[in-house]
Amino acid sequence: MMAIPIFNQIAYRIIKEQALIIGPLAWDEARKVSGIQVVDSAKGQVDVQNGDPKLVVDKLVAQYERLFGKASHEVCREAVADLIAELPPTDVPTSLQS
Amino acid sequence: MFKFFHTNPKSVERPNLGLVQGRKNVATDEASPKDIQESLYRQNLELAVKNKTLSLLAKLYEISTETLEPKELAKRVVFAVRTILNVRLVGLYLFSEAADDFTPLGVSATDTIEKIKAETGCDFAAVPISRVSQSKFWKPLFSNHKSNQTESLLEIFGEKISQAVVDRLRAEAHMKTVLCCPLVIDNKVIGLFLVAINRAYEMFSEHERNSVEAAVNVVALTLDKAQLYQTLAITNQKLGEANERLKELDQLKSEFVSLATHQIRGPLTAIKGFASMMIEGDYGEVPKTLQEPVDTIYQSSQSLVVIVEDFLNVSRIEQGKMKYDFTDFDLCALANEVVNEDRVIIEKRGLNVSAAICPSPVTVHGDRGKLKQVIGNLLDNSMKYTPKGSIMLSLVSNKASKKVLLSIKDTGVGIRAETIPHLFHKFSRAEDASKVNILGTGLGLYVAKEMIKAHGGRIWVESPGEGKGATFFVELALV
Repeated sequence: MMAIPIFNQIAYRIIKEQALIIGPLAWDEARKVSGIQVVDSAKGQVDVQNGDPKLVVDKLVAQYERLFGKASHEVCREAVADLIAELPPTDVPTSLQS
Repeated sequence: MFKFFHTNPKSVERPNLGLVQGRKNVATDEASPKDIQESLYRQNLELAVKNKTLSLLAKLYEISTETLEPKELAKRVVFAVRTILNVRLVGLYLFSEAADDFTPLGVSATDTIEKIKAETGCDFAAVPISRVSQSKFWKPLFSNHKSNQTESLLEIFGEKISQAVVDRLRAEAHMKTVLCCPLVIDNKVIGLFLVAINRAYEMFSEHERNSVEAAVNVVALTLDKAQLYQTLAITNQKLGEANERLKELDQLKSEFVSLATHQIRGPLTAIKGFASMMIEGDYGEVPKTLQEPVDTIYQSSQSLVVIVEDFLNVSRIEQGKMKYDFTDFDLCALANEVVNEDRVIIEKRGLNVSAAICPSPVTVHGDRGKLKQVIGNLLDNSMKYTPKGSIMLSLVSNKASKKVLLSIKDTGVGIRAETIPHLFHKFSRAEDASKVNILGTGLGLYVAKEMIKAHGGRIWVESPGEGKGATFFVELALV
């Protein structure tokens, strides 16, 4: 089985966590972010494309924060805490840095 | 219940996730649509967090209902917790006070840890945590039942894991912090729940902490239940084996008793026979000084014959070798025959005895000899326990139910209520036996019960209490 790229995993985790709180709207909002392609929400297939994946993730986090405030930002950070912990500090998107 | 123990309480700055604290209340007029949206989000977030914790608990409960074998249970629990909480490693350990260690029962680790295990041979599932009482690290777990955490694997496993492996686990598997939670039941530590995460403990979210705390309490209960089940299963197995052994021993005992009593019966018959012949004067007149000893020899041998016969009957019953010769006969005639045979002895003791009065024959299908033995036994029993008064035998036929009820009522010492349920057991004798100086094996009523059972009948006793006499009943089917 091929390993899923880490930024795809991060994006998927964030969307999934938001979906637990706001429902399918989380997927709709993710689709609005440029650089995020939802291949199959049921199977959890998300592709981070176009340029710097760190910036794409930052945009995704900002998309939720714009709508739901600071709490949603913290949710994003906690959702991927274990993934972020394994990244070199320079690879961590700004929005997810503690 | 355990509580998390923060040894290094660096608080993480978190936004206020409460519903209205420090913010505009959604119910107020000034609330903007964005405020309302954010407030609803926070409410949903609170529900989602609770829902996640509940989902984990539901999974653990599901496992606990499906699995009772401790190892299998541990395997499933650690896997579920590791995958649901996305942690590096989860271990479930049993505490042994005698060995002073935590023995691994189940460990689930990420693929990377498994790879390191394969390459280095460092298997957490085979590494016990030793000398627990000698380490300061474990003190909070035992003294306050609080969890503890460390970033040093060596603090937990000591020299059982090399520094090189620890370095690989940190660098490649990102095992950064190990959280150790005691499993407590009845205020006693029964085990350890170990969770390894890839962050500092302070970065472990509130939801994750709450989930682990809730899981630990469920795991403790589940593990305790599984251990009890296993103990019970082992005890049951041992009891089963002991029971089998006892059955074998019982069989051997029955065979021995049967053999011994058969061997005794021959010489005993000779002793009794010759004593009887001496009393009858077959060898000439017995000198006066010898008359009493010869009489005693005869009486004693007669008593021994009865005892030997009881033992032989029990042996036959237990070995399933008792033979019954079933025929149709008049039970009334048989009962009165027994009364008449014993009448002289009964009246010699100063007791009145009355036989059954039957207007017509009471026909039953049974072994006449065995039923005679039962009635004789009951009559003999009443006689022994009745120092004065009377013994009355009666028969009542019930054509509707096609049953006949034989009863032997005495005015004897009576039976205590608590004694009655044991009276038909082997070697059971009424507590008053010694008071009235009764000799016997305590087998007569057991033999009677087994014989009546073989006839498809019932036997029981009723007594109004001590000093108020007793009535023995035998119920048989009419032909």
